[in-house]
Amino acid sequence: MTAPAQSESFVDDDRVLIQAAQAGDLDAFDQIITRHQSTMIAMLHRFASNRADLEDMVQETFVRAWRALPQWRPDKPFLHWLKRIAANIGLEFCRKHQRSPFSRLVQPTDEWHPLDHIASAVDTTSASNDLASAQFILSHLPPDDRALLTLLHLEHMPLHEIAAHFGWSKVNAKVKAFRARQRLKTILTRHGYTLS
Amino acid sequence: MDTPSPKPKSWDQLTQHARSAPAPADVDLRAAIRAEIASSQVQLQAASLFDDVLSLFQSRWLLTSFAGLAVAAVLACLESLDVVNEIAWIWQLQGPVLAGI
Repeated sequence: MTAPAQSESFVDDDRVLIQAAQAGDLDAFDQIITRHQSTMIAMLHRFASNRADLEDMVQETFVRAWRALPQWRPDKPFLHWLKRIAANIGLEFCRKHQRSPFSRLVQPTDEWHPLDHIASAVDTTSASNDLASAQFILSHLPPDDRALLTLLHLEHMPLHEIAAHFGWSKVNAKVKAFRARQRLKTILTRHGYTLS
Repeated sequence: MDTPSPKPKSWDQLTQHARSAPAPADVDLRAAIRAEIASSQVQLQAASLFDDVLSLFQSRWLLTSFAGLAVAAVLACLESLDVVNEIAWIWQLQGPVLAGI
Protein backbone atom coordinates (compact mmCIF):
# COMPACT_ATOMS: atom_id res chain seq x y z
CA MET A 1 0.00 0.00 0.00
CA THR A 2 1.33 3.45 -0.89
CA ALA A 3 1.67 6.29 1.58
CA PRO A 4 -1.04 8.53 0.03
CA ALA A 5 -3.45 5.58 -0.01
CA GLN A 6 -2.67 4.98 3.67
CA SER A 7 -3.30 8.59 4.57
CA GLU A 8 -6.52 8.55 2.56
CA SER A 9 -7.81 5.54 4.48
CA PHE A 10 -6.69 7.25 7.70
CA VAL A 11 -8.81 10.27 6.76
CA ASP A 12 -11.75 8.02 5.87
CA ASP A 13 -11.46 6.25 9.22
CA ASP A 14 -11.37 9.66 10.89
CA ARG A 15 -14.57 10.60 9.12
CA VAL A 16 -16.39 7.47 10.30
CA LEU A 17 -15.21 7.98 13.87
CA ILE A 18 -16.10 11.67 13.86
CA GLN A 19 -19.59 10.98 12.58
CA ALA A 20 -20.05 8.45 15.37
CA ALA A 21 -18.68 10.96 17.90
CA GLN A 22 -21.01 13.63 16.54
CA ALA A 23 -23.87 11.26 17.39
CA GLY A 24 -22.57 11.19 20.99
CA ASP A 25 -20.39 8.06 20.87
CA LEU A 26 -17.64 8.69 23.43
CA ASP A 27 -15.82 5.47 22.53
CA ALA A 28 -15.41 6.73 18.97
CA PHE A 29 -14.05 10.00 20.35
CA ASP A 30 -11.63 7.96 22.48
CA GLN A 31 -10.27 6.46 19.28
CA ILE A 32 -9.96 9.92 17.72
CA ILE A 33 -7.92 11.00 20.75
CA THR A 34 -5.70 7.92 20.41
CA ARG A 35 -5.04 8.75 16.74
CA HIS A 36 -4.27 12.44 17.18
CA GLN A 37 -3.01 12.79 20.75
CA SER A 38 0.67 12.48 19.87
CA THR A 39 0.40 15.14 17.13
CA MET A 40 -1.26 17.55 19.55
CA ILE A 41 1.32 16.83 22.25
CA ALA A 42 4.16 17.44 19.79
CA MET A 43 2.62 20.74 18.65
CA LEU A 44 1.73 22.09 22.09
CA HIS A 45 5.08 20.99 23.50
CA ARG A 46 6.53 23.94 21.54
CA PHE A 47 4.53 26.29 23.75
CA ALA A 48 5.25 24.66 27.09
CA SER A 49 7.76 21.98 27.93
CA ASN A 50 6.38 21.88 31.49
CA ARG A 51 4.41 18.64 31.70
CA ALA A 52 1.47 19.96 33.74
CA ASP A 53 0.89 22.89 31.37
CA LEU A 54 1.26 20.63 28.36
CA GLU A 55 -1.29 18.13 29.68
CA ASP A 56 -3.73 20.93 30.50
CA MET A 57 -3.44 22.31 26.97
CA VAL A 58 -3.85 18.94 25.26
CA GLN A 59 -6.86 18.10 27.44
CA GLU A 60 -8.46 21.47 26.73
CA THR A 61 -7.88 20.98 22.98
CA PHE A 62 -9.82 17.72 22.91
CA VAL A 63 -12.57 18.92 25.25
CA ARG A 64 -13.14 21.95 23.01
CA ALA A 65 -13.01 19.72 19.95
CA TRP A 66 -15.73 17.53 21.47
CA ARG A 67 -17.93 20.57 22.15
CA ALA A 68 -17.33 21.95 18.66
CA LEU A 69 -17.78 18.61 16.85
CA PRO A 70 -21.29 19.50 15.60
CA GLN A 71 -19.70 22.42 13.71
CA TRP A 72 -17.09 20.28 11.95
CA ARG A 73 -17.85 19.69 8.28
CA PRO A 74 -16.55 16.67 6.37
CA ASP A 75 -15.12 18.87 3.59
CA LYS A 76 -12.46 20.18 6.00
CA PRO A 77 -9.49 18.01 7.08
CA PHE A 78 -10.05 17.04 10.71
CA LEU A 79 -6.39 17.34 11.74
CA HIS A 80 -6.19 20.88 10.35
CA TRP A 81 -9.36 21.75 12.29
CA LEU A 82 -7.91 20.22 15.45
CA LYS A 83 -4.64 22.12 14.98
CA ARG A 84 -6.60 25.33 14.75
CA ILE A 85 -8.10 24.68 18.18
CA ALA A 86 -4.66 23.76 19.55
CA ALA A 87 -3.04 26.90 18.07
CA ASN A 88 -5.63 29.09 19.75
CA ILE A 89 -5.12 27.30 23.05
CA GLY A 90 -1.40 27.97 22.61
CA LEU A 91 -2.17 31.64 22.07
CA GLU A 92 -4.32 31.70 25.22
CA PHE A 93 -1.44 30.07 27.09
CA CYS A 94 0.89 32.85 25.90
CA ARG A 95 -1.61 35.46 27.09
CA LYS A 96 -1.98 33.82 30.51
CA HIS A 97 1.75 33.34 30.99
CA GLN A 98 2.94 36.66 29.71
CA ARG A 99 6.15 37.69 31.42
CA SER A 100 5.55 40.70 33.61
CA PRO A 101 6.51 44.03 32.02
CA PHE A 102 8.92 44.49 34.94
CA SER A 103 11.09 41.66 33.67
CA ARG A 104 11.52 43.52 30.42
CA LEU A 105 12.35 46.74 32.22
CA VAL A 106 15.41 45.24 33.89
CA GLN A 107 18.31 47.20 32.51
CA PRO A 108 21.23 45.08 31.34
CA THR A 109 24.56 46.07 32.83
CA ASP A 110 28.10 45.32 31.67
CA GLU A 111 28.40 42.52 34.21
CA TRP A 112 24.90 41.00 34.20
CA HIS A 113 21.83 40.53 32.04
CA PRO A 114 18.62 38.60 32.86
CA LEU A 115 19.13 36.39 29.79
CA ASP A 116 22.75 35.58 30.62
CA HIS A 117 21.97 32.16 32.02
CA ILE A 118 20.78 31.02 28.59
CA ALA A 119 24.16 31.54 26.96
CA SER A 120 25.86 29.57 29.69
CA ALA A 121 23.16 26.93 29.67
CA VAL A 122 23.23 26.20 25.96
CA ASP A 123 26.90 25.24 26.03
CA THR A 124 26.25 21.70 27.23
CA THR A 125 22.54 21.27 26.82
CA SER A 126 20.37 18.78 25.09
CA ALA A 127 17.66 19.65 22.60
CA SER A 128 15.15 19.87 25.46
CA ASN A 129 17.18 22.58 27.16
CA ASP A 130 17.50 24.43 23.85
CA LEU A 131 13.74 24.29 23.54
CA ALA A 132 13.39 25.67 27.06
CA SER A 133 15.87 28.43 26.20
CA ALA A 134 14.03 29.34 23.01
CA GLN A 135 10.73 29.36 24.93
CA PHE A 136 12.26 31.59 27.59
CA ILE A 137 13.48 34.09 25.01
CA LEU A 138 10.11 34.07 23.22
CA SER A 139 8.31 34.62 26.53
CA HIS A 140 9.69 38.18 26.55
CA LEU A 141 7.61 39.03 23.49
CA PRO A 142 3.95 40.13 23.51
CA PRO A 143 1.58 37.08 23.48
CA ASP A 144 0.56 37.34 19.81
CA ASP A 145 4.20 37.62 18.69
CA ARG A 146 5.19 34.77 20.96
CA ALA A 147 2.48 32.44 19.65
CA LEU A 148 3.25 33.39 16.05
CA LEU A 149 7.01 32.83 16.36
CA THR A 150 6.54 29.64 18.38
CA LEU A 151 4.56 28.14 15.53
CA LEU A 152 6.79 29.66 12.84
CA HIS A 153 10.22 28.93 14.30
CA LEU A 154 9.69 25.99 16.66
CA GLU A 155 6.83 24.13 14.96
CA HIS A 156 7.99 25.14 11.46
CA MET A 157 4.39 25.81 10.47
CA PRO A 158 3.91 27.75 7.22
CA LEU A 159 2.83 31.35 7.71
CA HIS A 160 -0.35 30.95 5.65
CA GLU A 161 -1.41 28.06 7.91
CA ILE A 162 -0.76 30.15 11.04
CA ALA A 163 -2.80 32.97 9.50
CA ALA A 164 -5.67 30.54 8.86
CA HIS A 165 -5.53 29.22 12.43
CA PHE A 166 -5.61 32.67 14.01
CA GLY A 167 -8.10 34.11 11.53
CA TRP A 168 -5.66 36.66 10.10
CA SER A 169 -5.30 37.61 6.45
CA LYS A 170 -2.05 36.55 4.76
CA VAL A 171 -0.89 40.17 4.47
CA ASN A 172 -1.71 40.84 8.12
CA ALA A 173 0.19 37.69 9.13
CA LYS A 174 3.23 38.81 7.10
CA VAL A 175 3.20 42.24 8.76
CA LYS A 176 2.78 40.67 12.21
CA ALA A 177 5.62 38.22 11.52
CA PHE A 178 7.91 41.04 10.35
CA ARG A 179 7.20 43.11 13.46
CA ALA A 180 7.55 40.11 15.76
CA ARG A 181 10.93 39.27 14.23
CA GLN A 182 12.05 42.88 14.71
CA ARG A 183 11.13 42.71 18.39
CA LEU A 184 12.83 39.34 18.72
CA LYS A 185 15.93 40.72 17.01
CA THR A 186 16.16 43.47 19.62
CA ILE A 187 16.14 40.90 22.43
CA LEU A 188 18.55 38.58 20.65
CA THR A 189 21.13 41.17 19.59
CA ARG A 190 21.18 42.49 23.16
CA HIS A 191 22.24 39.04 24.15
CA GLY A 192 24.69 38.21 21.41
CA TYR A 193 22.52 36.01 19.22
CA THR A 194 22.12 36.55 15.52
CA LEU A 195 18.87 36.31 13.59
CA SER A 196 19.27 35.76 9.88
CA MET B 1 28.84 7.65 23.98
CA ASP B 2 26.90 10.88 23.84
CA THR B 3 28.74 13.85 22.52
CA PRO B 4 27.92 17.29 23.91
CA SER B 5 25.77 19.37 21.58
CA PRO B 6 27.54 22.32 19.95
CA LYS B 7 26.73 25.78 21.26
CA PRO B 8 24.13 27.40 18.98
CA LYS B 9 25.70 30.50 17.51
CA SER B 10 22.51 31.85 16.13
CA TRP B 11 18.79 31.88 16.86
CA ASP B 12 18.27 29.69 13.81
CA GLN B 13 20.67 27.10 15.17
CA LEU B 14 19.05 27.23 18.58
CA THR B 15 15.55 26.73 17.16
CA GLN B 16 16.75 24.03 14.77
CA HIS B 17 18.21 22.15 17.69
CA ALA B 18 15.14 22.88 19.84
CA ARG B 19 12.84 21.40 17.19
CA SER B 20 14.45 18.00 17.73
CA ALA B 21 13.46 18.06 21.42
CA PRO B 22 11.31 14.99 22.05
CA ALA B 23 7.80 15.51 23.39
CA PRO B 24 6.85 13.31 26.35
CA ALA B 25 5.82 9.94 24.96
CA ASP B 26 4.01 8.54 27.99
CA VAL B 27 1.20 11.10 28.07
CA ASP B 28 -2.24 9.53 27.73
CA LEU B 29 -5.07 11.87 28.57
CA ARG B 30 -8.03 9.79 27.35
CA ALA B 31 -9.37 9.12 30.84
CA ALA B 32 -8.97 12.77 31.93
CA ILE B 33 -10.63 14.05 28.75
CA ARG B 34 -13.50 11.59 29.14
CA ALA B 35 -14.04 12.65 32.75
CA GLU B 36 -14.01 16.33 31.76
CA ILE B 37 -16.52 15.71 28.95
CA ALA B 38 -18.78 13.68 31.26
CA SER B 39 -18.78 16.42 33.91
CA SER B 40 -19.53 19.11 31.34
CA GLN B 41 -22.43 16.99 30.02
CA VAL B 42 -23.94 16.80 33.54
CA GLN B 43 -23.77 20.60 33.69
CA LEU B 44 -25.43 20.81 30.29
CA GLN B 45 -28.22 18.48 31.45
CA ALA B 46 -28.83 20.67 34.52
CA ALA B 47 -28.97 23.70 32.25
CA SER B 48 -31.44 21.97 29.94
CA LEU B 49 -33.70 21.09 32.93
CA PHE B 50 -33.72 24.76 33.91
CA ASP B 51 -34.57 25.66 30.31
CA ASP B 52 -37.48 23.20 30.40
CA VAL B 53 -38.88 24.80 33.57
CA LEU B 54 -38.41 28.23 32.04
CA SER B 55 -40.20 27.24 28.85
CA LEU B 56 -43.03 25.76 30.97
CA PHE B 57 -43.50 29.16 32.60
CA GLN B 58 -43.59 30.73 29.18
CA SER B 59 -46.51 28.54 28.09
CA ARG B 60 -49.82 30.34 27.67
CA TRP B 61 -52.05 27.93 29.57
CA LEU B 62 -49.86 28.17 32.69
CA LEU B 63 -49.84 31.97 32.58
CA THR B 64 -53.63 31.99 32.16
CA SER B 65 -53.98 29.72 35.17
CA PHE B 66 -51.76 32.00 37.26
CA ALA B 67 -53.79 35.05 36.16
CA GLY B 68 -57.02 33.23 37.14
CA LEU B 69 -55.58 32.37 40.54
CA ALA B 70 -54.51 36.00 41.06
CA VAL B 71 -58.00 37.29 40.20
CA ALA B 72 -59.57 34.73 42.55
CA ALA B 73 -57.20 35.81 45.34
CA VAL B 74 -58.09 39.51 44.83
CA LEU B 75 -61.83 38.71 44.92
CA ALA B 76 -61.38 36.69 48.09
CA CYS B 77 -59.53 39.61 49.68
CA LEU B 78 -62.31 42.03 48.71
CA GLU B 79 -64.90 39.66 50.21
CA SER B 80 -63.06 39.56 53.50
CA LEU B 81 -62.18 43.27 53.45
CA ASP B 82 -64.87 44.21 56.01
CA VAL B 83 -63.62 41.60 58.44
CA VAL B 84 -60.05 42.77 57.95
CA ASN B 85 -61.07 46.44 58.56
CA GLU B 86 -62.85 45.47 61.76
CA ILE B 87 -59.84 43.59 63.06
CA ALA B 88 -57.60 46.54 62.21
CA TRP B 89 -59.93 48.94 64.02
CA ILE B 90 -59.94 46.78 67.19
CA TRP B 91 -56.15 46.56 67.00
CA GLN B 92 -55.91 50.35 66.76
CA LEU B 93 -58.21 50.79 69.77
CA GLN B 94 -56.23 48.35 71.81
CA GLY B 95 -53.30 50.77 72.02
CA PRO B 96 -55.08 53.74 73.73
CA VAL B 97 -57.07 51.39 75.99
CA LEU B 98 -53.94 49.67 77.17
CA ALA B 99 -52.24 53.05 77.60
CA GLY B 100 -55.20 54.23 79.75
CA ILE B 101 -54.89 51.23 81.99
